[in-house]
Parts: sequence; C-alpha cells; structure tokens
Amino acid sequence: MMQRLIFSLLLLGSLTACEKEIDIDLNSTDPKLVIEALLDDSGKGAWVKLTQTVNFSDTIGNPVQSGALVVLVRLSNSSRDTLQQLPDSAYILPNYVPVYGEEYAFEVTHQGNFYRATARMPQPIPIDSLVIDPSFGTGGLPGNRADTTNQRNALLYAFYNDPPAASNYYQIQAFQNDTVTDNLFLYNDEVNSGLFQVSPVFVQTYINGRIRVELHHIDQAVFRYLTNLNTNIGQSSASPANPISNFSGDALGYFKLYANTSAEFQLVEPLGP
Amino acid sequence: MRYLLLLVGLLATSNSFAQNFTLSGYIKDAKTGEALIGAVVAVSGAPARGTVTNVYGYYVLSLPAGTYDFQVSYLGYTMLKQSLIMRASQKLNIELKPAQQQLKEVLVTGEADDQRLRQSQMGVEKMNIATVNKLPILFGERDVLKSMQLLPGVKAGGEGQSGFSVRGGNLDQNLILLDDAPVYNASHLLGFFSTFNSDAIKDLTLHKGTAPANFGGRLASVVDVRMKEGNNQKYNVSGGLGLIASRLNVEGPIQEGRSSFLLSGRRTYADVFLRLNDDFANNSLYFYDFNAKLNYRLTDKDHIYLSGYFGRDVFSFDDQFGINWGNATGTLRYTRLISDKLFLNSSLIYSNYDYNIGFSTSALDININSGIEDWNIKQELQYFASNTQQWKVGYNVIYHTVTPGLVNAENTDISSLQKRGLESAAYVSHDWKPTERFNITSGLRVSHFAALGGSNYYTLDANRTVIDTFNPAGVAAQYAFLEPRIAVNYNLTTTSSLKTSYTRNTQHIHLVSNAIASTPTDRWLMTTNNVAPEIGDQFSIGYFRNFKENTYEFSVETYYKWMQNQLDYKDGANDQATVIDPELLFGDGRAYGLEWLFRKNKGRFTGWLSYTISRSERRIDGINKGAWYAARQDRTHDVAVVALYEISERFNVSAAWIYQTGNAVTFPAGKYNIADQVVWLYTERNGYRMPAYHRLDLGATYQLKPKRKYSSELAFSLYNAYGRQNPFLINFEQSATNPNRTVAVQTALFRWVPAVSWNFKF
Repeated sequence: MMQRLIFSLLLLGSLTACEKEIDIDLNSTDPKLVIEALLDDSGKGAWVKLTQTVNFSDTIGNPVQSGALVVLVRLSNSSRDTLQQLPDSAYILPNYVPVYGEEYAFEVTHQGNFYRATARMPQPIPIDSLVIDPSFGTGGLPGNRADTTNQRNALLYAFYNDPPAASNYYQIQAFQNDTVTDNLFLYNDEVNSGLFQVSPVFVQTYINGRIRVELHHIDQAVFRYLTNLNTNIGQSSASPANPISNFSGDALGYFKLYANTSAEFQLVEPLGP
Repeated sequence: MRYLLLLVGLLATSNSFAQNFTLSGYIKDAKTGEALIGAVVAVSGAPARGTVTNVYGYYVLSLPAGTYDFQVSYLGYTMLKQSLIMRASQKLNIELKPAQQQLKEVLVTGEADDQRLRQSQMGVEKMNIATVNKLPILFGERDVLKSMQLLPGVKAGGEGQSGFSVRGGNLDQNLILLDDAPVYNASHLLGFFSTFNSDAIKDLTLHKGTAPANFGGRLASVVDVRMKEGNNQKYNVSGGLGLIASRLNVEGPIQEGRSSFLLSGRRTYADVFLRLNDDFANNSLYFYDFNAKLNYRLTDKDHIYLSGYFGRDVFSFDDQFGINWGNATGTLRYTRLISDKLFLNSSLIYSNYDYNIGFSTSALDININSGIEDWNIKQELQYFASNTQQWKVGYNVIYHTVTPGLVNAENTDISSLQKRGLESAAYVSHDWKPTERFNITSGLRVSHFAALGGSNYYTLDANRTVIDTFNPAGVAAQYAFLEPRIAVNYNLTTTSSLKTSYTRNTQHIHLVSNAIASTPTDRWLMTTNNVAPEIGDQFSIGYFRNFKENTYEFSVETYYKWMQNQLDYKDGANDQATVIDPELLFGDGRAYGLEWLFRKNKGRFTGWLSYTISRSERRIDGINKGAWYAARQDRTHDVAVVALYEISERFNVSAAWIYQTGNAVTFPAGKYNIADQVVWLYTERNGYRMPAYHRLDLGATYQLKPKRKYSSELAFSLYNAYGRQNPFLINFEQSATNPNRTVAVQTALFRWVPAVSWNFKF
C-alpha cells in the first residue's frame, strides 16, 4: 500500500510534464531557393525539384519554382544535358546513368541567379546480406508490446564490405512495401575503414512483410548535409542551423550523387514471445 | 626592482613584530571534533587584533605580552569568551558548542557576522548548509549546488538543473572541487540532482571568478566543497527516507579525539517502482553516491586525511542498451605545522569522470567509452608572517588524460586517440592589512599547459580543413601565462566597506556541448595547437554595508569580464566527428552586470533578496556574420527571494521565489520541404528568448518529539507551488490538424511537485 502511494506520488511528479501550443512572434524572411537534386545509378535518371522557403506562419502549400534552366554536366567531357520540367513539378532527365568515379555538376539558372553543385560518383558497394536480430524487440523498449497491430519493431543488420580507400560514407534507407520509412540511417568508416561493416537498421515489420534496404554510397558533403538535416528536423541541437548546401549561390538543399544497391528481407516467423 | 624593494620592505615590517608572542591553535566543534573553517578569533585589549581560521581550522595571532579578552565566534555556535595572559608563545585549542541542540546536524555555517564586509575578497559566497537543509527543493532532495543558484550572479542551467552559470560564464567554466579534487560532471539523472549528498558536506565556498591565486584553471568560478571529517568524539548514525532516494550516514571516532571516519551513501530507487510495471521489468534507472573520509592525527603537528567519492548513474533497457556514467575522486592529504607560523599542506589527488554506452545484441557489441582522468599533486606553504600579513606559496601539477567518445569496435586502438596534457601552476598569494582600514590580497599565478604527444594532432588551413596529421613524441603545443590577481578592501566605517578587484584566469579543459540540457555525453577537450586556451579578465567593484549589529547586510557589486578564445560549434558542425578541431570556432566573450544582495541573518525570520541585471555576449567569426550575439545563458533579469521562518523550536517554514528572463535561443524564421519533410530555416543564432521563468517553492520541517538517544524530522516541500508551466523547451512541428501549418509547442516539466522525506539521527 505504501509502495503504491509512493509510486503514485512519483508518477505525479514525472507526469506533470505537459505540452501546449504557444504563440511566438517569429521574424519574417525573404524567400530563398531550395534545390533538391538526386542522381543515382539505378537508371531512374536525374531528378531536381526547385522550391522556395516560406515564413513560419505561412502554409507550405505548393511553392514549386518553374521556368528554371537545369543542366547536368559531365565534367570530363563537358557534355551537357538539359532537364525537362514536369508540369508544376520536378525537372527530370530519365534513364541517365552516371559513370562511376566521374565528376558531375548541376547548374541551375533561376530568375537571373546561378547556382552550381559538383560531386564525384562513388563506387557501388553491394549488400552482402541482411540479417534480423532475433533477440531484439522481445521486451523492454517502451512501445514494443503495447502494439496491438501485427506491426512490431525489428532490428536488421546490413553487412557489406567497406573499400580500403579512406573515408566512405553511407546512407541506408528502408522501404516497407515500397514506401520509405521515416528513419534515416547514416554511417561512415572513420573508425573501421576497409573492414566488413555491420550497420543496424531499425524497421517496423510484420509477418510476411517485405522490407527492401537500399545502401547509398555517398560523399562527405552529402553525409554532412544529411547529418545536419536530421538534427534540424529533430531539433535536438541547442545551436540549430541550416544544413550546409553543396550548391553555390546561397541556395538551400543539396545535390546527392550516389551509387545505389539494395537487398530484400521478408519476415517469415514470429519473433520472440 | 621596485616591486622587490617593496617586498623586502614588507618583510621588514613583519620583522618589526618579532618581539611579539604567538598565539595559535585549532578551533573545533565540541560535539563532533570537526574543524571550523573561517571562525573568527579576536582579542580586545591594548592592541585589538583578529583573524580567521584556515580550511583546517587553524589560526595564528601575534600579540605583545599583556592581558587580553579572548573571544571566538562562529555563526550558529555559542560564542566563547575568556581572559588570556600572554607571557610566552602558546597553543590554545578551542572547542565551540553548537548554539542549539537540534537536529540540524550540519550546523556548520558560513562565516562570522561581518566577515563578508571585512574580507578583501569579493564575489565570494558561503553556502550555509543548515539553511540549505531548510530550503524547499525538487523531489525533496537537499542540494547545495541548487540552493547556490539562489545567490546573485549564479544562474541555473535550466529547469531543475544542477548545472549553473556564474557571471555570464559557460557551464564548463566552473571549477567544482570536492576536497580539492575536480568533479567534472557534478550532476545525476541529466542534471536534476547534484552529486553532492548534503549529509557528507561540511562547507561550500563559491568564488565568482575572483578567487585568490591558489585557485586557477577556470574562467567563471571556483566552487570549493569540503567534506565533513567525521565525528571524533562519538558514533553517529543519521539518514533519511525520501520520495526518490534514501540516505545513510555513519561517522565516529576510530580513536577518540584522535582519528575518525565518515561513510555516507545515497541511492535512488525510482527503478524499484518502475519494475512493478511489466513494461519496465527489465529496465534500470538509478544513481548512487558514496562518500568516505578518514582522518588521523599522527601528532599534534601532523595530520593525515584520506577522502573519496564514488557515484554513478545507471540506465539500461532490457539488457540490450545501457548507459552509465559517474565520477570517482580521491584525496590523500598530509598537513604539518612546521612551526606555529608555518603550515604545510600536501595533497595527492585523483579524479575521474567517464561514461560508457553499450549496445549489445546477438550480432553486435558496440561500446562507446569516454572520460577524463586527472592525477594531481598540490603543495602549499602558508606563512602567518604577522597579524597583518600572511603568505601562501604553492604549486600544482595535473596530468590529464582525455578519452573522446569513441565507438570501441573490437579492433580499434583507442590509445592513439586519447589526449594527454600536463597542466602546471605555481603561485604566491599575500594577505596584507597595511592599516586598520585596508585589507589587500594580491597574488600571482604562473600557469603552463603542455599538450603531450603520443596521439594524433592536426594541422588546419585557414578554412579549418585538416591538411596534416602528426603524432609528436614530445610536446605538441604549449602555452604559459602570468595571472595577476589583486583584491582591495577599504573599510569606510565599521559597518561599511568598499572593495575592488582584478583577476585573470586561464582555462585548458573545455566542454563543448550542443544539447539543450546537460547530457553525460557532452564532450571534454583539452587545449591543443588548434584549441587555444581560454583567457578571462575580470574587474569588479563593490559596496558592502551592515545594519543593526550585522542583523542585516547589504551589498552591491558590479563586474566586467572580457574573455578570449571562447569556443563554439560552427554552423552545421558534426559534433560526433572523431576529429573535432575543424568543427569548432573561436572568438571573444564579454559579460557585465550588477548584483544586489540584501540579507537578514538573525532572528526567527531570516532570508535574502537578490537581484542581478547582466549581459553575456559572444563574438565569433563565422557565427551571426561576426556580430556580437547573446550567449545562451544571457538573462537580463534574475531575482531570488528566500524567506525562512522559525515558528517554534521544532517547526520551520520556508519559501523561495525566483524570476528570470528566458534564455537566448535560436528559433526558425521560416521553413521548406526536403524529401517531403519540413525543414526549418534559421537566420541567426540565439536571436530569440524563451518566455520568462518564475516559480515559487514552499517548504516546512517539523521535528518529531525527540527521544533520549534518537531524534527525527519530517521535511515537506512543494516545488512550483502555483503550477506555472515554465517551458523547458519549445519545439516547432507540423500541426496535427493541418499538416501544411506549423506550430510552436512548449514542454513544461514540473508543476506542483510535492515531496516528503523523513530524516533521523541517533
């Protein structure tokens, strides 16, 4: 009885934490161009989306920027390809496949301003295997058992060989039934360069659920950009800032040039108790 | 040369008192044998003279032959008066009796009635542990570090945090010493509790960046915490049962009057209750503290002390993920009275802070270890030249080893990444009363830091990009500084004084933190070729006035502090980077303010009112386009009102109210989409303010009817009595009802936290 009382008092203390919406008078700011430029070796081709920033109090709406000139340049032979815009949407160059080890640039001309980013195409790193951790998710972590649907937390390991050359950076994305999960996993080989890598990937799945894991071999600038993007979105830093773009000309966003490999995993047996 | 002549002159002056006899001895608590620090010893007679005891309770007076009225006073103790005939030098050890025979087991209090007025040091505060025990506090856990935040010039790190900022300094610019051993992370459970179990603490002195030359190594403050020595008269057991923790303290003589021990422990048991809930059955979340001290008087002149602290936080989920962190300190000290006037103090000190994160599953074992370890030798000679002059000469050598937070995969060699440094200092400090009205403390500290080889150092270009890595065999970088200090007190009248001081401090151990609350994983760095030492210069002036025979005291102090090589992360830094040097930026800092304190010390109603108006700013190339910006802890107004009332001998009530301008924070000015996620657009660092913070806490202690050998009390507290929702953090998120809209959401942590604890002693 006494314990119950103390427990309740304790809960009272910790559960008094409460959230509420408040009004803060935030400054307004001039709109800035945001460039999201993606190119990989999967054959999907180049994809570039131009948007603008809006004030905090505005709705995001559809600030897609049209009428820009977007050119992909292969630096070794100066070949230039202009991307075509889909109506009110992204600029694309379908089926374009970059050459490993070559340098590429995106050049964007928009409302008289010029923006440029360059990157070198990394080598593809195949995923050796995907393994599920049988001991994970059998208790403990809050929310695991509270789940009444068949969905549950699971931990996969992606195994792959890091090349001996220094400083490799990876992003792992997990897709459940072709929908990307929220989580963004970033790894580098700073402490175990050239070794067999074991990278944890936390996913949610269910029996017979199909998980596709993509391993993106990226460069340092993009790795940094994504690390900062995670911090920015999660608001976990005391001195938050804008992720540093690899585009020149005071633009936001990034050019991600990456080698893309993938593997699939299907959960066939129930996990744990 | 002129300085040398002056020194010779001074020594000659002291020689002119050579015909005097020496009166010296120790002042102790009659019941426990604890040395009383800062007790006032005075004689009235032909020449009136007075002094205060040092940290070992030792005093020296020089007196010509004659008859005197001798008196010893100490707040909270019955004053002792006796007549004294001086015909030869003599020893006089005094035992003072506590004023009231109550449960206030740690009635060791700060200072004599007007000590604050008369000492030359400014920016000094003593925390009275008896007062600390009566103040209301979060979860009812008495906490000297948190009570200290009610003093002017000291600001809490955040809601319920034991981290603090002194005079606009950063949290890592405070040197926290427990029996001379640095405590690198003085907090438990993400800062909600301090590591100081008040059962084991005797005395706390805070120097707000104006410490004399025997202290050094941090810019903002020195918090000098002394552990109790243990009762050398009789055995004592005391302790308490609280809402979240229990404490037990055992002390007593090993040989009566000659040696004693103290053992003190505390452990929280929140997790015991958590386990009642099935979902948390395999989890742990607790901390504990253990303090021990042995002291042994070898002869009348030689004394050995051995003290230690060990505390740890343990947090684990399901035996798969665990994090634990903690401090360990140890101090071996030998003091010797070489002659009546010469006191030697030698210490060997160990200090360690480390944290450990483990993630272990069937396929993977990841361990992250990080920490800072110190070996420290300190020696000081205190020379009581005369009643008007006192010298301290000493040195201090510290060998630091810093292990950065590294993923310890099986085949990584951590030792090449561990940084080692040697921090040395030698000092001389001089207390001088040239006339009855003047009191001057001057000093010089010579400090040196060597970043030692044996690990990797980096050469950066102008853009702070690594262009070379080297691993020197000897010294990678070294710096030397002269740190002059002077403090002058001029007594305008017997009840008022004017003080001024100048102090330079340097700092070679830095903490870079990027988190909103203090986390155990904050990163410690040492000065290297790329991380320049921090330098702080502080100038201050103050006016002190006491009223009604020291019943009331009033003071106003103003300061200006200039800081060099202040470090911060650059925009978009990777705080997890193995090589941290390129992620940091350096610049200047300035802090200035005005501190008012009005305090009532005597009577049934006591308390104080403190108000600080201040600024703290930084200017760093690469942040906010190189313009001055507010430091996170910059809070313009800071008010504390503390009231204690003794309703009866057995019943005390207390209240504390604080008001603070909100911290400077960075809020977004706009937003955009990347990969269908909302990303925040920032335009400047620390350009906004959190809403103002205010809170009222109430407390009461009631002593249950004492039995013959046993007494106990109940302590009640109510934290945040009017339940204000003070924002702990403000997050920006997509509105749940309309994802195209974004809203600001504040999280408030504690509203109306009641607590009760039961304390006993037998």
